Amino acid sequence: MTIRRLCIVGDSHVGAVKLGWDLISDENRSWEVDFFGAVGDSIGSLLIKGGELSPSVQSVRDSFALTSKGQNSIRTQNYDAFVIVSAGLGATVLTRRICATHSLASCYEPGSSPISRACLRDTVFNAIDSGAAMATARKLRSMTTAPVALLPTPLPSIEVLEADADKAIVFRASGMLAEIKHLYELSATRLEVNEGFAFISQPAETLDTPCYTRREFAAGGVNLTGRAKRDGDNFCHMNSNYGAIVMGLLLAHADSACRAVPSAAASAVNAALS
Amino acid sequence: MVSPYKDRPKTSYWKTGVLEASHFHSQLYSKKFDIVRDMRVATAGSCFAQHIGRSLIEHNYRVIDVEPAPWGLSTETARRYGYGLYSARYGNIYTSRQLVQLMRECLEGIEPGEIVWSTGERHFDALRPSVEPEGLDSSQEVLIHRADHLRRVRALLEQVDLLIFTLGLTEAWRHRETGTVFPTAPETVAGTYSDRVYEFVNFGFDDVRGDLRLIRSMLKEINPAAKLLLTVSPVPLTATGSTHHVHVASTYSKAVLRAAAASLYEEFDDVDYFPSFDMIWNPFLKHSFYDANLRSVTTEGVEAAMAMFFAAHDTAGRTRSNAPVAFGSSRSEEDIVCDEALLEAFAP
Repeated sequence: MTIRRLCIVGDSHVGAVKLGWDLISDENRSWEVDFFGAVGDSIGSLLIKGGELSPSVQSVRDSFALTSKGQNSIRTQNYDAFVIVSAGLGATVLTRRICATHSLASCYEPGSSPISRACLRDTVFNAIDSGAAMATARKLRSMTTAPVALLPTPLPSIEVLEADADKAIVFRASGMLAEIKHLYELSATRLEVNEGFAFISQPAETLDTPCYTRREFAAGGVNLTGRAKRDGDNFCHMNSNYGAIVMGLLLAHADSACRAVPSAAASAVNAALS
Repeated sequence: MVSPYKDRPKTSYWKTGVLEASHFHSQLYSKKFDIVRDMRVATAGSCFAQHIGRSLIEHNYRVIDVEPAPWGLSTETARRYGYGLYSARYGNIYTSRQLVQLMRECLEGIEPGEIVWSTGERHFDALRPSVEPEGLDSSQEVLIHRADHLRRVRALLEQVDLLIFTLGLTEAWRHRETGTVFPTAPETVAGTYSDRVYEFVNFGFDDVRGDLRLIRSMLKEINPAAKLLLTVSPVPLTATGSTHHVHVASTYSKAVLRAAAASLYEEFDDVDYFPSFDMIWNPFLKHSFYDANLRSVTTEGVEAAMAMFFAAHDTAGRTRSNAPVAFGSSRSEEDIVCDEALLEAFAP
């Protein structure tokens, strides 16, 4: 059996994916998976050093060591495929950050600034293009020909529509999340075409409506270390069941992508095993 | 009899003040009042004012921005949408009349005669058409954006300690029926030109002085402690709507603006004049501060002007360099947003 190695690097949302992998790893013995997680956008500061993608700050190095069982940098030659998880990518984070101050005139409320559709489009494009996820993807691309995919932050749980927490308010603005999701998808398509990265969508079976995640996936949502998030924060951090579905999707994608790309790492690993 | 010139300083004499002076251009400014870092500063005016705002920010002055760009928008793209150019998203305010209109609108509720310009299915704020290069979806959306803008400009005027206003032009295009003036001629950025609806106007000294007095009085009414710093843009006209040669028209325009600024300076203790125009529009320098197009001011020119400002106000020594800026190779001001330059697209 050919063993392939997948590197998953990202932010706190790596936690749910890792727990999901724990649930399905027995059924996927053709893959070995390493996880590298660090909070927020901090993976954007990774530096290329030789054949490694290395943290430039100690906190990220420590976090990598914790999440990867001892490795504090990513040796790219060891992997057949890469997935970047969240790191600010996707409509959820964009909505939270943009709508903190701006909204379309159709959703305008006093206190926020109206933003035109054209400016919102450019804001989303700029934010994705210059974000930590794309920065990491481009660094990987400069180091390896292995497939690189990107997975967005989960869409907020449908529960957010009933919540009173301040963090929930931006997700309730009618139309903004849907508009930003649409622009995110346009931007992802453009980057797929122009740069060859694969943007993986949130699995349809995890969605309640096109813009919200089914509530059962947010129950017991976890952070980077697998601990449950506080209720008020928990609209976007999903649980191991969500992670398992996502992990299945990532492996299917990686299988397909690796068949299209000759694998140096797989050859090296298999040679060592034999 | 003793000559009244006898005890004047060296700077009062052409020979010692200019001809024999080293870097005389850096000694032109005598401040009327202190401008310190904790003052809340607002900038407005023609495109040269963008340089002043940026330079103050670089030197850690407290430049207000009441309409910041959304998170994630790059600085370059933000400028295309009028963010980060001035203290509010009013675009270039070339004439004193434009600023009077804006202040009347947000402080007194006096609506301009024509707010929306439509081109096909796109709709523009006629009083700042460049801040939405693609226009908006509807006239109603323009009005929503404008109402928010006015609310923020009012807040700006209420809190500002120092308003820096750079006078740019005397020429404008005016709505015949209501007298509303626009920053650009109809059809330059948006709108449809008709000489039955619009007319060319070239403001004179009395007009500009009257506008500046109104600006000051409206500002003082809402914010009695506020001060005004006037500058004149050294950038010549891209095109004139008058029958004169563009250079003659530029000279007229700058002369009127310079004289009106001087008049306010003489009249009010809380109005200062910063002579960036006098430094840059200057035939007595061995090297020009203008770019190859003879309009745009070089980075060296801007830095020289601002060094003069900081030499007067940044006495704590935190200015990057108080030394006169060396002359040399010119770099252009390519990233300054100047929609007046769009007129060049119509040049023969």
